[in-house]
Amino acid sequence: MKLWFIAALVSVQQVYFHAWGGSDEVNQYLRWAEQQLAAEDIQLVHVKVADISETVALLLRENQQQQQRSAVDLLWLNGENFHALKAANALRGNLSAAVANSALLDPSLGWQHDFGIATDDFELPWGVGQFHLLVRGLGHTNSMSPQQLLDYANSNPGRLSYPKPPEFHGTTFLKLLLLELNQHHGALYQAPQAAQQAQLLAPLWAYLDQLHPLLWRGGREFPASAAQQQQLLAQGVLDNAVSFNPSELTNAQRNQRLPATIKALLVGQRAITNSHYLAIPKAANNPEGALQVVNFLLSEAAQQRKQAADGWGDAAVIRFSHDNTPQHVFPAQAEPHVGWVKLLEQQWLERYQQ
Amino acid sequence: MITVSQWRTSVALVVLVLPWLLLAGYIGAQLLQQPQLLFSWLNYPGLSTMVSQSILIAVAIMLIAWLVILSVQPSTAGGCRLLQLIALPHLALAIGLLWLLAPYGWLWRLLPESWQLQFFDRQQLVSFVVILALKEIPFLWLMSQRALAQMPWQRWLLSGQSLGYSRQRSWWLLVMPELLRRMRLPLMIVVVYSLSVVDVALLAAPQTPAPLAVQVLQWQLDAEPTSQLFASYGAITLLLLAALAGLLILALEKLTIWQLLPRLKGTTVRLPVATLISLIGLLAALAIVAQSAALGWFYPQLLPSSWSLARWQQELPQLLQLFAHSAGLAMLVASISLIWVVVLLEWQRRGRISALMMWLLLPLLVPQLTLLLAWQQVFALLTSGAGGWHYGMALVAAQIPFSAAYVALILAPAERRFEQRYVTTLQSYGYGFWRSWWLAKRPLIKQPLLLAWVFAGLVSMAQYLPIVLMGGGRWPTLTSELVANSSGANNQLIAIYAVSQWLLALCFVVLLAWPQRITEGEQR
Repeated sequence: MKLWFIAALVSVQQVYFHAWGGSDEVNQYLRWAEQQLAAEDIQLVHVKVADISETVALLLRENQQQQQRSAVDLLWLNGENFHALKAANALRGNLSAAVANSALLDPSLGWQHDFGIATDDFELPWGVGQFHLLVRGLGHTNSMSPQQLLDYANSNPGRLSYPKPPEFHGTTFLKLLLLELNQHHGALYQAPQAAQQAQLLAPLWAYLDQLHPLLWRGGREFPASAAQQQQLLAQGVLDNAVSFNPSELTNAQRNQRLPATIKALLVGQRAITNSHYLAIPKAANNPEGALQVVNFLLSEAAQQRKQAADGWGDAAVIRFSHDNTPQHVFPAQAEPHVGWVKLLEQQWLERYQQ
Repeated sequence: MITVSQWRTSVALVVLVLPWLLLAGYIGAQLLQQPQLLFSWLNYPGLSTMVSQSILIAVAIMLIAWLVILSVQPSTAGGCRLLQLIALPHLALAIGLLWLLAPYGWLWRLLPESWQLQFFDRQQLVSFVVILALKEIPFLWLMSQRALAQMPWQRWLLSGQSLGYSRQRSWWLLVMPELLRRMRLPLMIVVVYSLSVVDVALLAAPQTPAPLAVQVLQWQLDAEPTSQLFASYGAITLLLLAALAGLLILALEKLTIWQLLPRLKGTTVRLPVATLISLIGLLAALAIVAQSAALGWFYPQLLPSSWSLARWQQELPQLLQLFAHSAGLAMLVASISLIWVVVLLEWQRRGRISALMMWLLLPLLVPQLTLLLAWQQVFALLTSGAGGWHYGMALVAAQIPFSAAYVALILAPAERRFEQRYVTTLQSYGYGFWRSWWLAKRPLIKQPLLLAWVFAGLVSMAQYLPIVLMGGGRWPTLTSELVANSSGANNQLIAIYAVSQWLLALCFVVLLAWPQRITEGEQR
């Protein structure tokens, strides 16, 4: 009896997957994945964190101490968090060679760069984010130019806002405006040159100087996160929220978290599009298990389930064997060069946080 | 030759001091990296507003707390209702209150539009201070009752009256100065908490810029080396502010005792706190319970479009497991903390452990993330690649300093008053020390022991960061799930976890009412 118990303990291997726990749909999807993986003798444990940067801080500390075995087997991340871990050499490389299903990934989706930094096989894409607004009472409009947005704010003062940069939704809103107000100037896709910086940023600051007094709380206060702004939208305080998940609105309306009068809206004609990824710490305690989990999450079954409209609804990143290749919900807009992000965040703080 | 008691003292000192050596090493290493960055930190946008906001909050809370102490009367039955509020998790209280009172909230929907108030809004200094005060007043009330229970105030009032002073005047001149002195530490804890709290601040306090503690956490979570350094500067500033607050509390105490109390004469200070606060707390709790079963509840509807318990049922298996984790962890941490502090206090009686209280209370005065990252190195020895039980042990060990601080706060006054000769008498009959302690001392300090245990449990229950950083996520609790859910926009789910956490805390607080009144079992 005792031996059987020990044997059972040994054969089931836990994989500790640190992932943001704030979305019910994602949590439910991972519960489904747990059940599926149990058949492969893997116990997937979703460690829910409020912000993945908590895990990143832990990994950086572990890495600094040169610990051999990490508490984390797998994590869900992108952007600055990936940049930091990659720069610290804290991630396992050559993932695609070890994950058979990575052959299914659709290279045309542009996931090879994560917020402007090459992934270099230190992370594999899991899904796609597209930045858009959720807006109340629009009628049939599904896109607005920055000028139209300003007009809307003018006729509805105090009803719009955006998350406070450097929160990444807020920063993305700034990037989008920067691109639109400069007619997608080519220099924005390259490292910022001193000569052009002021010239290209000027229209953005002029625009925001006009917009802010028309925003919620006169633009002197901003929601702390996209989730908080979404709650303000649901409670009727605001007329807009922002989102990176094209299915967020459908999910929220199906579960009666947002009223039916709310619609998705693009600023400009396209949505800033990027991917979110899976990565394995170099010191993961169970790297084989983690690789197996990644392989499962990139399988046709798992990706199909992930994009199902009654679940998470996150776009697939693989080509399916039978029919549809993955398609963006909104026309995709590439990110400006990563060098602009720091400039935007820093100057925004200097101008609007004193 | 080293005697037993010296040996004990040195063990205790190592265990007490080591965490702080690690912290000093951690911060020191960061500060030495690039000292020239101090200037760019000083020029960080909004820094002066952050600091002045934090000071404003701390001073406001200090004055409110001071008024509460001045208005304290010996225990009335009404105060017991306040205890329920102690059980209400502070995040739940904040969510519930904002949802009730802030513009477009539940109460707004009842009132005609012209009545609506603007001053209690999300992300506003006033509402943040109000929420903090609501949460802290019951704690202060409880601690004042404990302090009063250890003072022979009736005798003092009698001797005051025999000298010809009125009863009220004797209260101001004889009882209040001593009460103020004894409330010094609880007051300090409350003020430091208001300086360092982050989760409530994210909802209720201004964000452009935020109070300093919020920004410190954001710097810490930003992976850039410069931000890490900024976080250290910020953490040190918070420490300095805490020290400053300590001085201010002392000054306020002296000023009150020397200048204010002699002039008060027959004046009474009465705040209708108990009733008002328990009513508000109850409303906030009601709001959260209602949300946990509501579907589609949008402005200006007074009631949701439908009620449903389906989500509760769906979460129940997880909730039960988390409930078990939280309760088990809390009981274990509380028990170990209690034993640890009792042992330390007994050792303290024999060989002096210098500045024992300071070491024990220090964890409440330092930003938690800084502390945990500094300790991480040592804990990794325990957990590296090991199984769930090792993480469990690390988690318990990481929580103990925070729980033990509250145990010390509650037990130390009772300990100071205790006549140890009860124990020594029994020892002279041949009983061993701890057996004598159990037979003679435990029954006499039963109430403070129980109260300390319950508080230690509540503190353990409210921990989030140790669950992720030390526990590696092996032992999720109701709080860790609540915090994770709160980072999303799903009100119903957030409410379900908040209600569950409240219920668990209530289970602990109910224990307090079990033997007798909370102030009994004291020596006068």
